[in-house]
Amino acid sequence: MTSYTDIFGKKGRVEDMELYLGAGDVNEQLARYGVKFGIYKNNEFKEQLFPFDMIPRVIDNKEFGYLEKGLKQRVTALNLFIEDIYGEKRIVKDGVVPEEFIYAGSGYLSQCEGIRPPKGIYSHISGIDLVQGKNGEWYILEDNLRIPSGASYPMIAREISRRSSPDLFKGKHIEDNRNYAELLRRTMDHVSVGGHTVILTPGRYNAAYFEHSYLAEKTGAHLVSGSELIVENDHLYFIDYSGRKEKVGAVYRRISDEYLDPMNFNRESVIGIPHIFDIYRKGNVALINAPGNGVADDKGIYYFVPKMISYYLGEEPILSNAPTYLPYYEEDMKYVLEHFDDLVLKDVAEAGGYGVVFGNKMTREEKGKFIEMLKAEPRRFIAQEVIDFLDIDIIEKGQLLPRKADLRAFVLMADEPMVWKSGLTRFSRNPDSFIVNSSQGGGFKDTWVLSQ
Amino acid sequence: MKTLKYGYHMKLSFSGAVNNHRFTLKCIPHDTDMQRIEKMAVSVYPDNITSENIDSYGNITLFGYTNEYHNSFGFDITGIATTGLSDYEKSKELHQVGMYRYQTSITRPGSKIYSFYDALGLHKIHSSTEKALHIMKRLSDSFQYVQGCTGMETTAEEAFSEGAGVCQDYAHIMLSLCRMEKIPCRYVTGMMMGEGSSHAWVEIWDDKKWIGFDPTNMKLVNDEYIKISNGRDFSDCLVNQGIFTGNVTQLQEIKVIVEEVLDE
Amino acid sequence: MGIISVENTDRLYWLGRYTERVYSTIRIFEARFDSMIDVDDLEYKAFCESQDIPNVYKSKEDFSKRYCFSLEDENSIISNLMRAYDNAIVLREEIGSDTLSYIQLAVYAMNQAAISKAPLIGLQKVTDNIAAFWGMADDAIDESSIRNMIRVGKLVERIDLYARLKEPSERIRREARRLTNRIDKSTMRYSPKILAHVNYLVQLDELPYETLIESVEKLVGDNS
Repeated sequence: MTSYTDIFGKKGRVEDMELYLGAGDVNEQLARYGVKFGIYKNNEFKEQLFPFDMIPRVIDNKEFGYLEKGLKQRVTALNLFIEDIYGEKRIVKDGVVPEEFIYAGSGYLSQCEGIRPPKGIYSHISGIDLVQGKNGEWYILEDNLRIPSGASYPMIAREISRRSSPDLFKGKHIEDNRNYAELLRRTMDHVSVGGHTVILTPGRYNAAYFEHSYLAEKTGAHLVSGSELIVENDHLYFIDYSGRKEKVGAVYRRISDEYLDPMNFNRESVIGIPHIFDIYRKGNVALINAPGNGVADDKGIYYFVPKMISYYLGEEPILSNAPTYLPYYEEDMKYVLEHFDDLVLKDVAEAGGYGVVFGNKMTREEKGKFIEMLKAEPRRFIAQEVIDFLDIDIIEKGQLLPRKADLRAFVLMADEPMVWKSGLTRFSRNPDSFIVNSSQGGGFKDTWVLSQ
Repeated sequence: MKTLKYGYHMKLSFSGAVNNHRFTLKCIPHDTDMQRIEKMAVSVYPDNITSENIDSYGNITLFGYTNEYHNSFGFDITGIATTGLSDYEKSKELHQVGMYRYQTSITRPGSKIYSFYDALGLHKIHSSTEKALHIMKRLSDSFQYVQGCTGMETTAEEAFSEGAGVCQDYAHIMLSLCRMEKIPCRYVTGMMMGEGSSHAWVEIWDDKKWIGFDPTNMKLVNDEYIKISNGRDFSDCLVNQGIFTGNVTQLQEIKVIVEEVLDE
Repeated sequence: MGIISVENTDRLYWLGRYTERVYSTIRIFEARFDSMIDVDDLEYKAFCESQDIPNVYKSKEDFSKRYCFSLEDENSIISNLMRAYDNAIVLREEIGSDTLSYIQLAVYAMNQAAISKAPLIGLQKVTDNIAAFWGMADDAIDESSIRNMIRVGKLVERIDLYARLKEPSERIRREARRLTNRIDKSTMRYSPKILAHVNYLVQLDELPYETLIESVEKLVGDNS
């Protein structure tokens, strides 16, 4: 296990460290560049700065090599799974994944049945959330295969940190993470069917708007809204201001499946593009990521990912899941009821840190109610052992404080899977909280991967 | 076996002019093991640009747009169908029709359908076809055909609570009940001999066969029927779906005629 | 050449207009504020009239506060700056993060000025950042049509403002000349007929200010 102290030397006085890290400058610069995310409070849109902590998470070369292998393996298997589900369904036939977990969840979209996207790639950009336990072991917490966000934050933080404290980076052999734009560009170009590449945003009132616009700038793709694109004669076009129609070959869409096309999904959507899904079905445009990926990143399906790896690849999973129980299975239900207080329970339908409850934090009454619900709808929940996270130091008000943190690793699929040599490290600002989601007030750190 | 001549006419009249009209039509019958379609003519108006595709449920889909202002929109389809080529459609294996075993937001049962289901005693019956026959019979006894008391968006539970409805409602309730038994089953839109509107029924999967049941008329689907489309429920089989610009009210007229062509 | 949508050409134009509006109105405000210190208490009334904005202010103190910093006042300088920001924030890809950052900095400076004990000094930082934004826009944006769309907006706004303030025709003529040189390079849609009319008007001895305002407002876009 490598820590920042291995890089910076022993912990000194906090003030010295703040100075060394260029503390004040970086956050000021992030504000200057508008590094924000939007949130809705009392129905009002507000932009918030995403607090940056300058102590990086450091992962040494060997350890990252191990993560890289495991992540590639996992994402490769997940892609095969999605292809199988919308095609042959061998894994169901062979009884590895019970049918119910596919069709009764909200992630499966029957509209995608039988569609094979360009180059057979479904999850072009995967955000895999991991945590490191006190024992040094890494665990996968969650797969995000729809529209995982967050890569832009460490990208720009690195850019600024290198400017504000160049000495910090001298002779440290840190992988440059600003190549994310190149990886993304390569990923988009690989599946493009010819024409422009665009990033489709729901608009500036989306939580991740900064990221949409920043990635557009850095990849040279055009940032567009749905109203600027039109389907005609089986192809997708961007309408230029002079009225000229420019063909679009790949859409990195940051709009969820539901709103993508009012003719095929939510009929009320005004941010989507009518009939885009129909020409996608014909293979005339690449959608990044493919619609319907939700079938593979459902919290219920998570349990089966290690089994998928063995099933499709014939390999042992390199990275482990957090120990998980599926009350759907009788013996697991029994275990969950017996060890209720030691477990964290998650509603498979909820995301963003919502629908997560800790057994030992419930009152007697709450517990009774919950167990009733669990017995009525066992498929709706998973239970996990509470992992003893390795804390990471942050600096707050001149003090070093240990906080829970996770790591979102990004795996991009072009002609081969590529793992971005960095990642988004999110921490909880509340010392008692295990939930590190940015929509719940967390902050972020840069992730340094050592090149030797 | 019958030779049927059919005509399907749909016209939407708007109270004012609309434009930027995008539409998706699932109105074209396709060849199945039970029917063969010949001499088909399709026209969609006003002038428009249209593409064709097959959706995830195997239905022929026309999609397109017309930008010019118009006060009405519609299509006319005519053709000849040879029906009764078989008593069923061949199907894929059970694990490949899984999506048809699960409830949708329209078919999901509520307390009324649950208690009806409990009283059916289906556990005593073994084959899916026998179960479906029983469900059809009992549904027919406890549900009345009445027009106007349900709408396009009415769910199976709502319709069943009402006690009356049209063919779409019969089909949804039957799907709901069959799915409670984990029988794969699908919604079908089509035409039936005679004059009037389009019709809806269901198909039950039994041992790699899709078998048609018409709960509205309490009979098995035979050579008097022409199938247009199928899906998990009505919303997969919308004959016409569209969005356009214009604040108007619309009126839909549908005329379907199916008559037998007898050898001269 | 890159591709750009109608919406974004429109935004570039308005980004030019609003930055100019903020910049110039701060300048004008500074001059008026100076004479309000010890000369004329009611100077702001004439100002509101010239700008065609309702005089909703109770006193010169109220005017100084709300006209500069109130987001509730739709004619305030801060409201116009936020409009510039709203246009800029969606143009990151066209103008670049560095250029965009000066608009962000102008917003921060404005918020600082609002709580500062010396708002005039604070406002200077706002104009500094807008000037830097224009400089960056000229220097760092490769696409000449994009640069010129912002420029055209800026010049249209300037002619509009000068006309409202009944500035001498020589000054306005100069801006009209610059606009004529720029507008084709912007590749924006505009009406050559209206441009000719504007050029005709600014040559008149008795400049008809009202007609000029009406004309120049209609120059760009589809309303020709």
